[in-house]
Amino acid sequence: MEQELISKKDLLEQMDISYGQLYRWKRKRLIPEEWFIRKSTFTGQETFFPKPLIIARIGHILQFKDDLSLDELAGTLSPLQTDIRIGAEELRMRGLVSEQMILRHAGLALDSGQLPFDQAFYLYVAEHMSQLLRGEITEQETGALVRLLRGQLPKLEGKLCELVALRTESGSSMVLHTGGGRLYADERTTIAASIHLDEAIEAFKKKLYAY
Amino acid sequence: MMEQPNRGRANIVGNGSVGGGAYTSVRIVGEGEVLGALGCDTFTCTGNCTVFGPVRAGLFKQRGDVTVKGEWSGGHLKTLGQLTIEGSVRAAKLDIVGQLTAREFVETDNLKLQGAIEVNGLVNADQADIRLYGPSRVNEIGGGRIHVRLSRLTAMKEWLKPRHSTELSAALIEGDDIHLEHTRADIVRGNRIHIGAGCVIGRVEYSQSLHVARSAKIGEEVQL
Repeated sequence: MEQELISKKDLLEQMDISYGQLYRWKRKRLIPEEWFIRKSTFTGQETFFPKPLIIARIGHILQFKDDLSLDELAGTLSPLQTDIRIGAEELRMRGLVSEQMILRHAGLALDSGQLPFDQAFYLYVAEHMSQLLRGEITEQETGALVRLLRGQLPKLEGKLCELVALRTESGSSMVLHTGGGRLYADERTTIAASIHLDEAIEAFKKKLYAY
Repeated sequence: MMEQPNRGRANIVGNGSVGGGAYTSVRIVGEGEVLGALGCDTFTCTGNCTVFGPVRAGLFKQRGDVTVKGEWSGGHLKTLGQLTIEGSVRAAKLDIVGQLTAREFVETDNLKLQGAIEVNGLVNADQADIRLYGPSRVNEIGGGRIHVRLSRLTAMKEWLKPRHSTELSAALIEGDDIHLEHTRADIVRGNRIHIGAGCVIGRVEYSQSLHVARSAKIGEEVQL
């Protein structure tokens, strides 16, 4: 799906910022490398940005840059970029999250057809998990999984984290596991699937920003 | 770099090598090798040194010839001589007299260079002050204030016997304040631009002001 792009020139003019600021923010990793999209135009190479993302991000930076140092600001942005909002339609078009998942589990996070980045990521993980389990996961279990991610992941920010699905005869349950060690289950329990969340977030970003 | 409780000092006088790791200080006089990733508060080298891995240093002072087989990141990098980095450079401040070669990008708040520079990627600096002593090549320069001039000595030599070999070539130069001399670039974009003697520029895009020296050649001028 084509995403709307904005050229660097237009961006500077529209947001009233200078080249120096833009390059400084790039240096401080406030603007991700993958948003700098090079394209040939008739005047030579130009840099373009995904318009909704960059405008939201620069708005966020401009709003907070007087109160926080750039390094602190960088800390508030990564890795879950909560200032960014993603259209539910886009998630669906890119095959990241199914319509059903959004309808049933987005809940209050969905605001005028858009989801914050972190919430969209939770749904993506849930979708991915249900694919790994080949759909052998009930509605209630999916709901519990989304609630688990919402409740725990913000607190674990920055830690390596693995999501593990355990299955017993009575059903399955989800466990978040930090530290990277192995899990040992008793004979009535099987480890049905696992997702490394740091890999998942990279995959999510890659698919989301791909053109 | 892993944080280690007791970090030592390493000294090499003469010929020698140390293993990689975390140190408070590394001092090399003569010829040395660091055999792996290096993290230290201060690094001083007078002579030759090769680091076989990435470097993270608070202060890195060097006279002579240093090669880093990996990326360099840290605070203040001070060079008199030749520095080759087979990766990227991320520093708060770069003070270089001599030659800087980097295989990837260079990012710094303040770049001061007298000599020659060769960078395959983007040079991203808030303030870039480059005085050319020899042929230089970068892919892109971006930042706030960008000044490129000939060094006084080279300017004098050029005046006595023009050879035009000392120049900077770049694909793109973008900044708020740009002052260029003896630069070959495809595109220059900025707010206030001064194109000085000996420049050959394909296209200049400016928003506030543009001054062009008589001996400069510009393909196209566009005011935005």
